[in-house]
Amino acid sequence: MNKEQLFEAIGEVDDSLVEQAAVKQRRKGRIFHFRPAAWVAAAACCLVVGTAILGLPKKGMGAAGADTASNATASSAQEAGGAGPEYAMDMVTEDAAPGAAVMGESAQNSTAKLAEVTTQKVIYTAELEMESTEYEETLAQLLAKVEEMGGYQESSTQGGSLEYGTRWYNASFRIPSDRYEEFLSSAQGVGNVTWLSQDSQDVTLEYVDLEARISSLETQRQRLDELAAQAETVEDLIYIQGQLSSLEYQLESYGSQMRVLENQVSMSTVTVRLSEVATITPVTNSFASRVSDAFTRGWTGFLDGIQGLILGIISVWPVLLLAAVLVVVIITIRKKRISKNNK
Amino acid sequence: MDDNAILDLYFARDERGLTGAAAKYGGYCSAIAMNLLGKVQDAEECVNDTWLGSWRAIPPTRPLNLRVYLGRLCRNLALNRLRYSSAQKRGGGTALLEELEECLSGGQTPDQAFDAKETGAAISRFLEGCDPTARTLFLRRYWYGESVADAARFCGVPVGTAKSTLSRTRTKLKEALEKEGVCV
Repeated sequence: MNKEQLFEAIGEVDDSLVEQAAVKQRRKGRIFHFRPAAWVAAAACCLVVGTAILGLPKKGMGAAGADTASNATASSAQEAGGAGPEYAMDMVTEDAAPGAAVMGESAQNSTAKLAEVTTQKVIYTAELEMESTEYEETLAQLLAKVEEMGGYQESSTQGGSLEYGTRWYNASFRIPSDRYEEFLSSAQGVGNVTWLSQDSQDVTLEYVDLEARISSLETQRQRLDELAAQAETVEDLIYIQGQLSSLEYQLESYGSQMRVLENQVSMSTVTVRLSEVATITPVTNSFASRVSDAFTRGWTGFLDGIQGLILGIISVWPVLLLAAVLVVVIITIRKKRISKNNK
Repeated sequence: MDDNAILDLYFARDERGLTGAAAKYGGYCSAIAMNLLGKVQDAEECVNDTWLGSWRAIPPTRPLNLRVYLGRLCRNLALNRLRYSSAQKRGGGTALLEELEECLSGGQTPDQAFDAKETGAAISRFLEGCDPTARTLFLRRYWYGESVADAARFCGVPVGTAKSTLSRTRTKLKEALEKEGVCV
């Protein structure tokens, strides 16, 4: 038998069989073909998208665990009382004969005054770097603490992106010195401190020095006032007035220097840098905690990646739409061509 | 028009029987002829030959199933054209025949006469033992001459599945025919 004969033989099969084959089989229920691979892929996509949407509701698009620079704990640099800048011994005058006698006396007075001073004058400054996953809350708490201690905010800068979770806040606070330590410890409770630098400057000598000069100048002024009252000639009077005015100028200068010192001493300065992070820098060094941290970071990073991918795909939706339209058009043309060929 | 009415007209040698048959089964036969031959003109000629053939054959034969009878007639005429004309390469018929080659074991016994009806009966027995989808696929491909894609669509299966099912059916047919001693 050859193939044509077989073909002919097939033609001779029972009529009933041939008729049966003419009835279109209606598949109940199934509208499209069951393709396991496609279903698995679709399920996987849904799972991924679902976890991405549910995963990080507040974090936005942070980079995986923004590591703030160092893990170092507080490094306190206690600098013992710095030597103050040299004050030019800018005494009133060198040439006035009547003045010289006055000088001698007031110098004596000021040394006496020096012996009286016992309290230390120290300027405290600190720099704090903090990170937090709950940026807004931490910031609010921090500012509240500042107010609580009776301090105020001197300056601030802030910036960063909410979308990427990289907000930051730099500020310098003035805290009353007696509550300085208290503030530092409470700040550590508010967020995760990654860097702490403390500095103290002993300005007692400068302060005392200034005090001494001021009081000696005061004494001089008194003397000059007395002399002015006793002055007989107009020339003398003019001369004395000249001395007085330059003296007063000096007094003002020292006075303002002292005020600056006093301000620095009474209100210590704390500079705070707060950054928003997705995950906190680990505090302990145990292997277990590092392992769990690695897991957390991995998961966070993965979710961020997925979110990024989805957003990226969505952001090019016009291109995708065009591509889809093109594909449909091409498929339709091909189908028409195939059916035309078959006819 | 009712089949019996058409046959009565045939028997009465009334040409309205022919027109009735052509009207009722023209599309059916054309489809088969086109599937196998591919070219419109050849298909038309084949269909015309079918009517002629039927006119000659029907009295005395009175087919129980006119539709299948006409289809079979058309099919065989198309096969003849395929056999004797090498210009029929375009139609699906040649590819079809190549596939059927798989069912043959290749041994040549020139003495054994070929009886289409008997072989057909054997094939029928085989097909009855097949599952419905495979059977339908097989017939739509090798009786109606449809392309694999069309047959697959008709049965509601994917094309890949259809191809593998047909292949398996052909192998099973070969075994069945060997067992029955039909082809050597």
